[in-house]
Amino acid sequence: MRYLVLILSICALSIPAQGQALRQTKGDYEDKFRQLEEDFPTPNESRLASGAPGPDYWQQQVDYKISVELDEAARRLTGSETIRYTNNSPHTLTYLWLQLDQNRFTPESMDNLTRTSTDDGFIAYYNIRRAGALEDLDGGYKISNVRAVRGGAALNHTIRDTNMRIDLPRPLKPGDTFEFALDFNFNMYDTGVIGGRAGYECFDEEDEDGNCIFLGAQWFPRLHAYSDYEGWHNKPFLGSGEFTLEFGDYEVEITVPSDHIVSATGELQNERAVLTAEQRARLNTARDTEGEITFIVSPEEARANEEDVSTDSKTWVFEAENVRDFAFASSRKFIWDAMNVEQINSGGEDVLAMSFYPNEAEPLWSAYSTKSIAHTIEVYSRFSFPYPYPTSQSVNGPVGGMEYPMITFNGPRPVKDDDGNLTYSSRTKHGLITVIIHEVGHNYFPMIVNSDERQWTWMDEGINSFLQFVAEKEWDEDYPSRSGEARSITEYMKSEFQVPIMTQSDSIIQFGNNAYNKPSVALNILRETIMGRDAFDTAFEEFSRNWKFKRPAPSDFFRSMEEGSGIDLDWFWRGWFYTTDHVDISLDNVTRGSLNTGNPEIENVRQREERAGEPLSLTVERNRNLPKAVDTDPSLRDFYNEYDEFSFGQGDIDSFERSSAALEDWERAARDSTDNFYYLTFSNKGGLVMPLIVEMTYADGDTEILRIPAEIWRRNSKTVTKLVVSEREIVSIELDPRWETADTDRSNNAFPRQIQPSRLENFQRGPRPNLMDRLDFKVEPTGLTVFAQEQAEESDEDSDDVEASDTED
Amino acid sequence: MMLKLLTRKTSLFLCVLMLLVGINTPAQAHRVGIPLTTLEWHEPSESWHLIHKLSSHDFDEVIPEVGDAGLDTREAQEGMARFILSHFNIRGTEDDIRFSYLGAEEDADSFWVYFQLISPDQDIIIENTLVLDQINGDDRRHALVNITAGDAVSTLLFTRDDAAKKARLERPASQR
Repeated sequence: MRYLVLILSICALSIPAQGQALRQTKGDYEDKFRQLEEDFPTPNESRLASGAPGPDYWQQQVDYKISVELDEAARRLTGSETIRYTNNSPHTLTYLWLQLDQNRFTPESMDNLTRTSTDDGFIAYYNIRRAGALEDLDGGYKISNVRAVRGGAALNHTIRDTNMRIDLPRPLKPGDTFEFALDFNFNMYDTGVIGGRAGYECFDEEDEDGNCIFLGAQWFPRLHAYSDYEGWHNKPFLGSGEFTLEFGDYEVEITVPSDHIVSATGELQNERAVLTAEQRARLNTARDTEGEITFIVSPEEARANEEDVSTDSKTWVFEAENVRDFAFASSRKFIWDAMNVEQINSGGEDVLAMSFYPNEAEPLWSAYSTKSIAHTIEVYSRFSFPYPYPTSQSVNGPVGGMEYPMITFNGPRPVKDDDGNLTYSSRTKHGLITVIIHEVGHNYFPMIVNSDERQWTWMDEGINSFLQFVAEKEWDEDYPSRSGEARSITEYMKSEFQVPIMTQSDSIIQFGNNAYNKPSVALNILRETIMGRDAFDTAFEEFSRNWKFKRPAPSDFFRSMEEGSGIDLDWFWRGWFYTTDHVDISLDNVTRGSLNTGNPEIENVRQREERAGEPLSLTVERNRNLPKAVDTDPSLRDFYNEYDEFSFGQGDIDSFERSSAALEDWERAARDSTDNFYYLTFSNKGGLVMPLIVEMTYADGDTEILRIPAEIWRRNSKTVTKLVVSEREIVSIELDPRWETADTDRSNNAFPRQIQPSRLENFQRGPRPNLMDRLDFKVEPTGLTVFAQEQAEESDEDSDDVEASDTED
Repeated sequence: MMLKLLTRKTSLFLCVLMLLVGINTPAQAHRVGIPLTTLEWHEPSESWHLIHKLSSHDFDEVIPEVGDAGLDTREAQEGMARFILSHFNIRGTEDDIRFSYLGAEEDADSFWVYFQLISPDQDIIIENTLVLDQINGDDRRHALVNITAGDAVSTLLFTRDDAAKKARLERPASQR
């Protein structure tokens, strides 16, 4: 027994501890380049270490047959669905989980119950209105008749908030299929009041026609995903984290008033039943026409449709293959245009781009919507894979921007001017193009590269925002986009209260910056500054093609980008995606060094000149007229009073020549170099390590940029010194002169230091300095905010036409 | 005179105004506005700089005065000022806060709106519905306010349901 204990003890001592193999137990060294493999999931034959799907990769298949009817008067959808679930996993399943997203719109939903409030009694009208509307809505699904298709037996099921579990009558073995059906209905909600990603919008103001636009999204019970890395993805829907879904084939019948036009995921199967001969002919024309839209329903026809409300109904039949969701829109207000898109650059099949919008969206939409779809497909397909679906649609309604397979909801519209005419600004125009690029772009990420939106928002929003930026800049080089530029994220990255990009969606603080802009900027920095376009684009395309119609996790993306480019990026993922550090690198100091040749004829002369160049001591200067002891008593003077410390003799010269003779040729050449030596010292104040991009300005006015990879920080992530050898004299140095790295504090980026005015100061100094003052502006929002009396009086004195108020609030 | 100082003895009216201003524009599920406000101590002027950054795309319907001409008109500046003042308010718990609206400018797809505040060190309450109520039902919209004094940054998060926060205005210790 004693031997056994001894052997076990020796074994225990000799086996390295697992899970904390590396620990920094002394000092404050931080290894910013520590590899991420220890944090990533262990690769396996489903997900390879290369970031690609492996030979054992699997995913489930879920096919739907749905019939749904829109009750326009009641604003209710009623439907039934048959779901065929194919278990491609190697596991036997005993239950299924479905998503009931409509259940979020009940007062008792987890989303509503967990909304927090301010503690000082502040409440806004919109919150009161929303709470009242939710009470009145009677929202959420009414589900009935949950049954097996074969035999029709009722299925045990449990509803928990936005989830429903169905217990299978018998275990579903690998490779087997189970078909079941259920009936459902729910009241649609007024999107303008309650929010959300679907609902309806009615034009019922005094001068409007009273008709509505209906958007159907998250409208039928859908299967949760079941994956190799998480099992069931059944986290409840809280409103922010979006959807994780399985691919499948859809056959959907949508019954609507007969004067409605329907846009939906997939392809229309019964044109003859729902379209006029004229409309079918126009649609065929559109299918054959590049670069120019064809109206299937013209603005005039749509306006005429608004006049009479049909009491009949029609059923539109759509089919879609290999999609992860299905959405639709329906209205008698819709104008409908279409245009064929050839995928010349990517080699894909032709796509029918279509837009559906009311007259209220004109003249903006017919000019830009369908053409924005075409532009998106052209750019995104070049960076990833050819668009694989037959249609791509853009619908104007109450939702500002939301994506579904082959169909997107986009909000921007013109506004009425004082004369009642619809006009739009450049801002609205670009807003529309931007949102269409973004939402159509989502067809690639995550509708096809099927990431888990509820878990990792950046994988769809961030990657998509990055490509959106690329597409915007290929629309027009002056396109007013900011979301991809490094400078656009600096204010946010200085924030103290933020979360890493790798944060579960529902816990994200400020989506726009965290999940959209920061990853978009990060990827743009990778492409433009760290990896280079060739390396980035190759790896990115490979990732996209590998995971097309599959389900990547973050580590698959991170690994793919490294594998495809041969560049170690763990430091970048770690810093930008796993921490809340920011970029603030300071160029602390620049020291000019000199080489001591040892030659007294050079060095002593130089030292004498340097000494002569030093300012005279103030004390010596002021004592100049005072009698000195060595002058009044010459006996105090000796050899040292006359000695010149910079003088040299023949002995010094001989000594130098002897040492020179002993040098190798290369040593002598180095000694005789006339180069300038500059020591540049940088400190890392923000935490993120980044490349050092150094612009040197020479005495002759020339500039040169030196790009030092981030690996310079690998042994010391807090401060580094870099030696720069230059034939020419450097007079100034600037760090990150092109604002590439998202450096949040540029006041420490230059040497010698330069005064950096704040943004506000720049504004005051700019071409519109203090416009308010020039205009003698006063602020009187409904008479509540006014100038102080004394200041108003001062303004009166200072200005020639001031009209300052003399009241106080 | 460059600055026109405003005085607020109470923010009651502005609170009411914030409640009254209910702007009903389309939901924006994915055109996520990113309002970010910086309130920064500025030593040379011994004042606080208040800078709002807003996505300009969101504002055509909200501030109709800001049309294609942008912000270079009196009407546009008035519209912007009215909008900000009805959606962002700072109340001092001890003393009035005097502030001036300096103006606004457009840069790419952002509006930058500038104020200057004069306030003693004190506890404050910030009420902020910037972009939170324009876009109905967008659960992804949050507004951030960074209060910066020297190297210290504190960040406040505002949501549709939680749009008022307590904070403290305090100059850096070295400058008190």
